[in-house]
Amino acid sequence: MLLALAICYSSIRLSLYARRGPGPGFMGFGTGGVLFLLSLHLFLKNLFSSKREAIEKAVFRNWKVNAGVLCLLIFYALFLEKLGFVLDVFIVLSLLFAISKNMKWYVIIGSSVLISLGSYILFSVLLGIGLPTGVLNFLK
Amino acid sequence: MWESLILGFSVCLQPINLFLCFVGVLIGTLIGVLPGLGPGATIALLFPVTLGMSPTSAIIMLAGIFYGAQYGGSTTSILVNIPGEAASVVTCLDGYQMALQGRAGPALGIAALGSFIAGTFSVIGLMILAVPLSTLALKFGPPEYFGLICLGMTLVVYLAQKSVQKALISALLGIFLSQIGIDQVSSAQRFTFGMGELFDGISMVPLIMGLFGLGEVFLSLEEEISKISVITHVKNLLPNLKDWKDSSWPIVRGSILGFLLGVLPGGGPVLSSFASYGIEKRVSKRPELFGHGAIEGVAGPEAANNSATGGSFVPLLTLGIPTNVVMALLFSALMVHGVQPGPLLIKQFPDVFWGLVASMYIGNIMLVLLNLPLIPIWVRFLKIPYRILFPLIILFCLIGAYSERGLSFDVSLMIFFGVIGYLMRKFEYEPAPLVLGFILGDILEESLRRSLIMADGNFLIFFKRPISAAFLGFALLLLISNSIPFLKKRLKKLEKLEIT
Repeated sequence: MLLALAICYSSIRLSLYARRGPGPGFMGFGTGGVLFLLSLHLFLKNLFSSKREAIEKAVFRNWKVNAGVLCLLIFYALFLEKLGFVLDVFIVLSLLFAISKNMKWYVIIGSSVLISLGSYILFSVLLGIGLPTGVLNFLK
Repeated sequence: MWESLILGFSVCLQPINLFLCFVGVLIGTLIGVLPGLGPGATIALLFPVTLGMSPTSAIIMLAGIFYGAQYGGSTTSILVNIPGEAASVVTCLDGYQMALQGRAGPALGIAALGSFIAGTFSVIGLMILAVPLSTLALKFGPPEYFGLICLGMTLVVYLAQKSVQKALISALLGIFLSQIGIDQVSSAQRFTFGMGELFDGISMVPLIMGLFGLGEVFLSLEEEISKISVITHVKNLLPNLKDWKDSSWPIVRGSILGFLLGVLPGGGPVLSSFASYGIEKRVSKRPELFGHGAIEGVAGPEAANNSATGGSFVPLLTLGIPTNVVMALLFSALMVHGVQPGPLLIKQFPDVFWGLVASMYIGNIMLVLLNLPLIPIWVRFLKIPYRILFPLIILFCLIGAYSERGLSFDVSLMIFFGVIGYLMRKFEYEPAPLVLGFILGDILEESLRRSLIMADGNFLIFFKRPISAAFLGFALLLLISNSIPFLKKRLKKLEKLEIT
């Protein structure tokens, strides 16, 4: 609901009408307006509903693993340019494999090295997708 | 038409295209077999690989993944009782029961052969319908396009598997996301918060990879399937005469129904397979057998979901309107390669259109040859634990998000949409309407603004032109018909309250 209101407010500031026909905020205002009405209806429906099914379904099981994966992904995004693709992927993959517990440490390191190097060769060298080299730039 | 088809075969039979068609159907079958990874996510993951290819090669491979997944999905349903793909959910009901009765072979056989017949039927349908439909679409102006997109969006919402209201919210969010960036008419910055990376709008790839790739991973990590019992003993793959007799009409009905539902926005393989199962059960002389190993319950839905894949291509290639997430991905794949899907596609890029059609004929033959002999290998893939698969899926998402524009901002965006996709699933919002809203939002806004400019701001233009009025009227009818049960329920409640 708050998002819908924010969309409506920003759209009004963009101006709803131009000289001929609708302005840049016209569509946003319409979208935000309908979104607000639907969200309000859903909010009221849930508020007065005795059913608690939706809440029960939304239990976050195994949340620690998901939170760990999310932190690793944020780390990847933050350090991609600085560390470079190969090193960044190696670190993230090693830790992702480590989450699985059943793998031995040398298998984790070995497979992470192979996959990070292999994917760099496949995508950057063979397919020409420019992936950042970061601190390993001198090897280029 | 025959000349064009020959052109298509000459394009498709080029070694590189033939190879990519094979790769596409092979990957499609594999991800169809593996539970937890659908064709949408796979196409998004492999999107960066196609950037260096020609548009024809790219679309041939990506389309192969789509229809290949429908073949592969049945294997897991029949042998493991876990649908490898959403469209194969109903195949579990009778397919697994047949497998328990020692009839896994005929179930797999009829699924593959029925899929082949239906797949071929749908390609013929696509070929016949595409040219007249695109000629008709050339007569469409902005009001007609606006009406058509409104109807398409309404159908997507109407056919939502969960709540219609939540699907509508999801679609509206998609439309809102499509507006982010610099407005092409007035050059005003819209919802960019001054961030330079958002001036060109949100990129399609991080959005889809986040919602479908990463979102699925987060969800699957919650409930890893630790132990699955696979039926590995498969014999007599070819169905006998009685099986054919029982399955022939379900295959015919499934092929027609699947194709028609595939053409509809929001339809596609999932809905077709459920609808086919329902119809087969209703017309059967022995409905009590359904759920206990009736071969009709495998043949009909499997034919329907394969036929729907061909049907889905009709609106994309002739009207430029994607009807489901996979088509939305193919739409953006074509756009990235400089090919605009729509009424002019067949004229401007005959090699792309007819090459794709021919590749679907060849791909279907490849699939039927691949599927049956390779079943023991597919079964082995089922034993790969998810804890090994998920880091690789994440890696593909990370590379894909970065590759399109070379911005680490897009990686962050993909992670953001991954979390959104996960939360949406948790709170029972479908991500598919969001993607369709995002794709169609641009065209919707453009056609709305152009129509209003044409009519000097008069909204009646949409109702003065018969085609757009018909589209909008039908959309309105659908929305009203959906709220009638709700209103009836309310009235009954009010009556009860008054009595007490």
